[in-house]
Amino acid sequence: MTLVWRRCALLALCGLLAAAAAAAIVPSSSTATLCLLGAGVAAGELMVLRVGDVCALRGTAPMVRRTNAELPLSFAVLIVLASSFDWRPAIATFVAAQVVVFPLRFEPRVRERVQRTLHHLVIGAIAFGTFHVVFAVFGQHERLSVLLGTLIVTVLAMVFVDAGIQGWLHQSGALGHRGRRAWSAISSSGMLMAIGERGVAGSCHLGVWGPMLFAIPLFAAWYSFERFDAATRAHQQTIEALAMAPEFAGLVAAGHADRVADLSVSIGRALGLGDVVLHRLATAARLHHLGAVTLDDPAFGGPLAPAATIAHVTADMLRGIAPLAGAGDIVARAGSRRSFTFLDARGNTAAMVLQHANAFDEAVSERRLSPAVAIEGLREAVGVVGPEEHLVIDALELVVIGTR
Amino acid sequence: MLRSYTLAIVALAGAALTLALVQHPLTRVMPILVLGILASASEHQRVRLPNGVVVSPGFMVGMTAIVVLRSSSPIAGPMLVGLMMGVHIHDLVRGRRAWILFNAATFALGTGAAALVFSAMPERLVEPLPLGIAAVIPAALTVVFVESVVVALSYWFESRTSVLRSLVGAAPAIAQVVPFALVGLFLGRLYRDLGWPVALMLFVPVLLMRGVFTSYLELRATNEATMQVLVRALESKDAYTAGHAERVAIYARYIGEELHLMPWRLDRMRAAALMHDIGKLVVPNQLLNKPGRLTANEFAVVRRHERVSVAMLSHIDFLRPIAPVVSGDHSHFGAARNSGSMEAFAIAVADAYDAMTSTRSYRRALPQAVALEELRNKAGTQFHPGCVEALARAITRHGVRHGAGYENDCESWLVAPPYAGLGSAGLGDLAEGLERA
Repeated sequence: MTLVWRRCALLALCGLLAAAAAAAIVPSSSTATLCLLGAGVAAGELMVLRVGDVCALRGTAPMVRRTNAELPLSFAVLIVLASSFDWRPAIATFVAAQVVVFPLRFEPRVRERVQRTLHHLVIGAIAFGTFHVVFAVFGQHERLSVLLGTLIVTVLAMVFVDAGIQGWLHQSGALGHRGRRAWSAISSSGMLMAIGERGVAGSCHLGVWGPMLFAIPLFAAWYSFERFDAATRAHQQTIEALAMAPEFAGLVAAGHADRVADLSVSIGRALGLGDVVLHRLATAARLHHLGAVTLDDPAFGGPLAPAATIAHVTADMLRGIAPLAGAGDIVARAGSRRSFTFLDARGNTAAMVLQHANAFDEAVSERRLSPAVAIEGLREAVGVVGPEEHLVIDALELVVIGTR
Repeated sequence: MLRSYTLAIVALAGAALTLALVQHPLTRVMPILVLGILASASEHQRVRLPNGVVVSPGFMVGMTAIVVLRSSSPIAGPMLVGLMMGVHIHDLVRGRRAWILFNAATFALGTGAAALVFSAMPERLVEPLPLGIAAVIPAALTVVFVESVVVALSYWFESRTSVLRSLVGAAPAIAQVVPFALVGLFLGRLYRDLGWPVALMLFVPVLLMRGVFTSYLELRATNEATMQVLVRALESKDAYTAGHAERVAIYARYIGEELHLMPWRLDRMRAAALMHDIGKLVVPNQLLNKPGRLTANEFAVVRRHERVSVAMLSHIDFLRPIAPVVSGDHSHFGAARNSGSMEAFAIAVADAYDAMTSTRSYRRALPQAVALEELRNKAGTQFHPGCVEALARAITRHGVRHGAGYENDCESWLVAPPYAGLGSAGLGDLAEGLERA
């Protein structure tokens, strides 16, 4: 049983006990339901859909930054609280849940916990305020369309404010691809839970059973997000681990793969390459020397393998894995300059970037040249290949020295 | 035979539907159409898990139909919805008409049987909420049972697979059908009271769940492919270890299954077993393939691979807890009796067994019986006794033979390996040879 489940089970148990006590003391009020929903908010704060990009690369210029941007499942319960109860006890419940869950949060630092709590309180205020204002204006004659419309406006307000806060906190919005998916799951489940809890014009009032049962698809979505997140991380780490092999074998300088990956991505960004090409370029840069480990070692009597052979072997290895085939192509092209003229421009650029980033790092890290001298050397070494190659070196200079 | 069985099932479904329609003629067509389309869409969202279980939200819509149509056409309505559940675009495109007919009839019979059970329950059991939730469970169990029996019989007709074994294999479906049925109950109430737009809302999280989960499964397969390709690269360095990592992973799984390890631990153990020698990537080819004894310096270089393997596996979060498995210190039962993990001990036994039953540059393969005897001799000191016995049991149960005379990969070699040396896991023989030297 993971820590998340243990803490959620603890909160659910506390909620049940509080609800039982409330039902015994004030049987006719909604206090028992609020206790259960409060436990739902607290548990939902611990179950989050991670929407920050996770296929991160380490280093100073990672292709996709890893952020702590996340959407808690508690936002779905918040929609129920905002729409189904008088605002005073509902707000009290939401705030109490935030207080209860504070020591159980997973953020290691108190500052981060406070930040997260304040962020969620703001979203709570937006949800309560928007729903009650809009419903007061349009909800005199309660109908499904009016309720749905009000809920949609409320959710949009929450999304808008949350995206602003996430952007401010993490320098990236929560409305990337994963963010949109997460908000869709949370908002549709939350609206169904709300309709189930309160009913419409006295019909179809399912009470607390509505939120409980309609949370099932949301849990399933959460589980899928968690699995996907773990698989993405594992894949990225596997590639990083494999990139270590040539370094451990002493075939390249320590940190070479990391540095070339960072530099390649920065140059690629400066040249305006798209995300897909950047991702392939980063993988290619990390693994471009991997093939060397399968060749005979000159230190033990084997012949010295030329760079083109290493690139060829590496490319063959990567092309054996369908999702890494694009990276394999870049390595192959980078290892064979002559083939540039026959290839598409985008593939050319990525391969040239990798080639120059690799040559630059070898010059600076192994031959101890200054960056300016290394770049000048690259310029002199460039043959009559085409204007793109000069653009790549210009971008390299821009990234490394900061001026052009 | 199978074709006759399919026709019989289709005829049975047709007869049951006709009977139901005679008893309760259709009065509301719209809900049947809407829910039928939704049911078919749900079946298109099914996902096959790595353990073979198929997760489908189809019966969620079936249960919705049972609730919505309870008062108008309690059996025929849900049966028609079930019928539409069997219409899959993939099958239509491929022209698999018999397949579509069989699936549609099976879903119709399952949903109809569940509707029969649900409609037989009195109103006072179904409407009040805590009881209503309980009332869904018999209906969900009925649909699983009926559909499983129909499919199990088809397997029997097709390949004489035991019906009981097929039914036991279908049991995990209960765990996913019951929650979806509960959601279906509530969705049915919302649909009944508020109309169809509400029903559509539930599809957003279901579609998202399916999309993300499919991406996860693809990524998982990619990671496995990455490991496999690198293992092949490793094996290309050393012809004698061709297939070694995959075999160690299989033997480790045998042991894990015998010891009833959880599926996630089996997955993790497989990854660690596949990559347990990954550090050999840094060992020069010339040393790995050297037919004679290694010098002390050369042996030190070879031995480095364990540390490198640990470092590389430790970089991967989910393998970090068992990364030490690849160092002899942590998989040696005597040295790590209290600190080592079961996965480490299992991989150590699997590795040693494969090393002994495969031909290496320094020794030809040993017979299976000799290898098992050697493992038993060292059980309790070098190897975990439970793992050794688990491997022996699994090999007997699977009826497989390894070792001398049963090798799958017959390699040609420049210098024929000697028929000498009992050997042990990985570098055991080399280490002993070096000590003797």
